[in-house]
Amino acid sequence: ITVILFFCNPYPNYTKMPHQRFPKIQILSLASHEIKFVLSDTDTSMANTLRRIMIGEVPTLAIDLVEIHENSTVLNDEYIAHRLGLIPIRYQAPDSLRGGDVHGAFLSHRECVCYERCPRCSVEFELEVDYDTVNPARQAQDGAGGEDDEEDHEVMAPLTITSKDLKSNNEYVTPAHFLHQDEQDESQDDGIALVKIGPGQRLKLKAIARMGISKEHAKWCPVAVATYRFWPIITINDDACSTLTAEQKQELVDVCPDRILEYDEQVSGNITVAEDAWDTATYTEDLRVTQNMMKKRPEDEDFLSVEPSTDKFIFNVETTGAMDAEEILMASLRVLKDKLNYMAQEVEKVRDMNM
Amino acid sequence: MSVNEVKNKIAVKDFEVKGTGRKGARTFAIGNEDHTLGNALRHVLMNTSKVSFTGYSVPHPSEPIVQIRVQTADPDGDAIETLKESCQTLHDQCSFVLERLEDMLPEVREDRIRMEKIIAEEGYGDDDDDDEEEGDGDGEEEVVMEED
Repeated sequence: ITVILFFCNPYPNYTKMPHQRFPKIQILSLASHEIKFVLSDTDTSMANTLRRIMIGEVPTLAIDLVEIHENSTVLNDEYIAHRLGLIPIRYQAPDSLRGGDVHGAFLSHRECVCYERCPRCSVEFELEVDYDTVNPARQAQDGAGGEDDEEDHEVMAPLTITSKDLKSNNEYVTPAHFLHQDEQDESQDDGIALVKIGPGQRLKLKAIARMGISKEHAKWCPVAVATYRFWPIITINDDACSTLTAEQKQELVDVCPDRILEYDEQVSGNITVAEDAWDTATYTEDLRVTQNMMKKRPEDEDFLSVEPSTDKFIFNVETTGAMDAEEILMASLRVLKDKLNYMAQEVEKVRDMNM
Repeated sequence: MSVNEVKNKIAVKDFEVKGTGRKGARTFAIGNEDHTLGNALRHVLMNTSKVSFTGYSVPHPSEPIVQIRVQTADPDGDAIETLKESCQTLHDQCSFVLERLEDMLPEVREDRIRMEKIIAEEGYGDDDDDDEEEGDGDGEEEVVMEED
């Protein structure tokens, strides 16, 4: 493959640095809110870099400024503002079927040339909910007895102000109320609950959302979960295993709490690796301890071993709803490329100065 | 703006080269970066045949500075050039992975191509803001040309 690349080489550095391997990605499962993939042929540094960028440096939109005009709810202003900031906000580019990546659609408000804010760097939301407008109070009844008055008043249920009540001034930007249809079906509210109000209470505010990264504040984080595990390398020494009795083999299989082995006495008489061993492996010490007891001499070879791989990782990424799952992965790679471009420019500048 | 607003400290210099002596041995101090970039570049440099010694450190967690040390095997080598090449390699690795991802998700590739075509046809400003539906100017200082 190296030879073929040499002649029509889009990656010239590959031939100068033959030790370089190019990472491979294989997607295990993909939903709109969650992606599981395997990253291989690379090092923990790359995997960790990707994870760190997904958590900390992918830009998203979140409410950053709140102007409160009226608040007679039971929660105080900054409490409500804090809750507003944590609402995930989703941008859907016009004509695009993909959701989420704000890159190129908005400017960071520090870079924007406007005076205070403008549609290029921010999105405005308005929220106005008045309990009495939604649930008009019934007239008090005349002529009833004193003790009956309380029973005549209808019990007014609290009204929940949710993220559905936020009205955006940009039709492509809305709060992400739910992750998927199942969540919406199970929920009792129309969106993310902000505050509950009762009769006579009102909430009127204007919220401005800006672009930012999670390193500045966690509200801009596009993922709920971004983790990786190591792929387990399970080696079975068949020669050594053949010296074990059937009961010993069964014991080895049963001692693993993560069920990574299978043993079928009738069919094969050998210990085999389970189908989903890569998913369930947890690298416990049970196997090693049990084997040491079975060995005739401590320095004998192991019958089985489970080791975490050093170059194959299983990623599990769940979003908050602000971006689609595969968008986050692609955005984090793009962020890394932008960082490197910037670095390369700075290096050039320094080199020109020194020349 | 508010009393308890937390501002992230920004490094004074974005990039600085330290080290006298031969051109092949240099320490690069990169501002506004952390382990995210440092570890990745260090790993790429380690797999470079030209490099005899490399490492990275974050001198203090309160300061957003990462230092990368490069020493070339060749006495006449250029450390800056080596750093540039490893940036390019890492950049190519990312592009490679992005292409493979688009292979696996053809709808993403179609979408990207369609968006790029739209931007190219309609020309300026389409990729900046999307207030296409608000045809009236409202007197806002919009630098963007609005679409009809």
